Amino acid sequence: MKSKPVLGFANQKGGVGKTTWSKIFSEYLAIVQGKDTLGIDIDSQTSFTARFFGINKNPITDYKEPPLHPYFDPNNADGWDGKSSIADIFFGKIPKPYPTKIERLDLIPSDEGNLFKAENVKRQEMADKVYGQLYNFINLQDVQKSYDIFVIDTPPAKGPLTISAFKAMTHLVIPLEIELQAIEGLTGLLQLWKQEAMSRPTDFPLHLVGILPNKVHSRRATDKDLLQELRSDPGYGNYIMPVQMVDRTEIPLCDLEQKTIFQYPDSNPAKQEAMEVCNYIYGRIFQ
Amino acid sequence: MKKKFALPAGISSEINNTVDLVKNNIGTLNYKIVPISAIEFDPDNPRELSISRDDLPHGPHESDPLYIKKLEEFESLKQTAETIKKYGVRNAIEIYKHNNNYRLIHGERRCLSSILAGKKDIPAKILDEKPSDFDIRLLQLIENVQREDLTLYETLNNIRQVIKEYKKNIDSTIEVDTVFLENLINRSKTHCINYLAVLNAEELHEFIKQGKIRSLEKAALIAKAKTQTQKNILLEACLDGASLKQLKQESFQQKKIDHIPQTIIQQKKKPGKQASKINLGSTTNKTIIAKLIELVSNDPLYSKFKEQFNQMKLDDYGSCSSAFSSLIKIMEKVEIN
Repeated sequence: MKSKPVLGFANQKGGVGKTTWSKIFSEYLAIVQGKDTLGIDIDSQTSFTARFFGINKNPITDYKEPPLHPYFDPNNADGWDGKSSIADIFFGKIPKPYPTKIERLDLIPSDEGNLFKAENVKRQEMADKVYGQLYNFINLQDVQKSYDIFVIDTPPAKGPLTISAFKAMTHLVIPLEIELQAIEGLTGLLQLWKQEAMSRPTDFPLHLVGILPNKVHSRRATDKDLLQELRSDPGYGNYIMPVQMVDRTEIPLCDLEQKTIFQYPDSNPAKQEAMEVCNYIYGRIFQ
Repeated sequence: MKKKFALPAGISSEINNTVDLVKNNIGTLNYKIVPISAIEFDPDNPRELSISRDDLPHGPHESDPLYIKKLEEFESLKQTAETIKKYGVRNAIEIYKHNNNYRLIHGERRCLSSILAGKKDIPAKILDEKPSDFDIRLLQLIENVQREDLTLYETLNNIRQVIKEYKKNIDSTIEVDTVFLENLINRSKTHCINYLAVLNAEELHEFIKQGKIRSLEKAALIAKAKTQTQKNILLEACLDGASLKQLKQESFQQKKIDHIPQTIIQQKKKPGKQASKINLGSTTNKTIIAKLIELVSNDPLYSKFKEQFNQMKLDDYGSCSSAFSSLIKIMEKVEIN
């Protein structure tokens, strides 16, 4: 059986739009395309989780934790504390996806403390205990049967959790702000893509869907010129997506008000741009 | 004019290099840890290894007709197993998917030694598809050529087979030179020059087969000698147990003799006025004049000039030249044409 698509949003730089696009694209898949979608938050900053369930801090450890699972029954707990997160895969457990307010969209939350623990596994044990676990989980028969597609939000680093996400991905999107530092940082992430893509068997390739220009300042000359230069490069220009997202107020507003961009009217420019980007990525995955 | 913003030099080329590398090398780094039990050995591997997995638990049995050969192999595998216990398998074996298992392209000894070392898994580079029969054969032969534990005779045989297979399957007209061999077997230029020299020196092959010449460098020194006499001298010295250093010295002496300027032996007649005196040449070697003075002064004919000779100073080129002029003047007095 051919495994289902696994799309990861990755960039070692923070604040470029990984979580924003993990959220928007997961919502698009469920709402617009009617796909059974599983979002996975493997970033210990737990931002993707917070977009759907708010922030839950453990009062003792001060670490951000997943909320109580809605199906948790304290009277029939069987040793379970009612919380499940993606960190479970690193400790021999199978996480339980949480339903979100959006039909067809489930999410496996992050867990700050336990992801730290997983990252601190000794280097020599890393390959066994961390790198392959997300791939193993996503490829469990039950998990494959339950979802049409998986969307992973990765940490802003090139550490073991990101590597674990890369090993599970079939498709990669790199959100990028059009500014010099971010473009310089891009080469580091491409090295990770290179390593993984070259290590794959040809029947399980890692496709670079593209580099997504995000938070673009459409009237700023630097953004316009640099973007044009990137897109017109004969070597990698076709990896720079022909669509883009302009820096618009609606995006942070959606986060603050816990709503989705797809609730806006069709005439809203932010929604239109988000649709264009999502349609492009969707086309590249399901073409 | 409107200012145009551009990326600093270097960024674009770095991104381009990475993208190009990925485009051209998908799947080339597909390394995994694979259970040894899932790997089948290739029955057509050209290496003549007699020992099999079945012999490993208790070692080869005395009743086995191949007992002696297998025992030798078993001992060698045990040594490798010790290294594997300490450091693991350093170089991945190469395998391809074959039905529900994998089939080995090369790495049989590493697999068997790993089993002896008690390992269940082994690092492997996995090819997606079965390479063509020729490619497998070539990969196995090349891998064998690169092994360090083969005798010179076995290595030469492997190289001969690689060349034969290449000529048979790819290009029968190819000229087998150093560059070709370097590309084919991925060894250094020096190694390839030596291999070619020895392959072409058929008179050495029987000695190599009998194990009387084991070193590639020694064999190549003999093979590269210019004349049959020089070859014979080197071969004899080698068979008498001369070290590589001694052989090199002998070869060096032969080359020195070969390089004595031909002008001494053959003086071409030059056009124009005939020479009426001898030009004694020049040198940067100050010890030559000292040696000449010593030789001449020991001759009884020159004993009366002893004191003059002793006064000659040889501390710089100027005084050496003066000493030489004086020597010639003295000799002109004594020697009569």
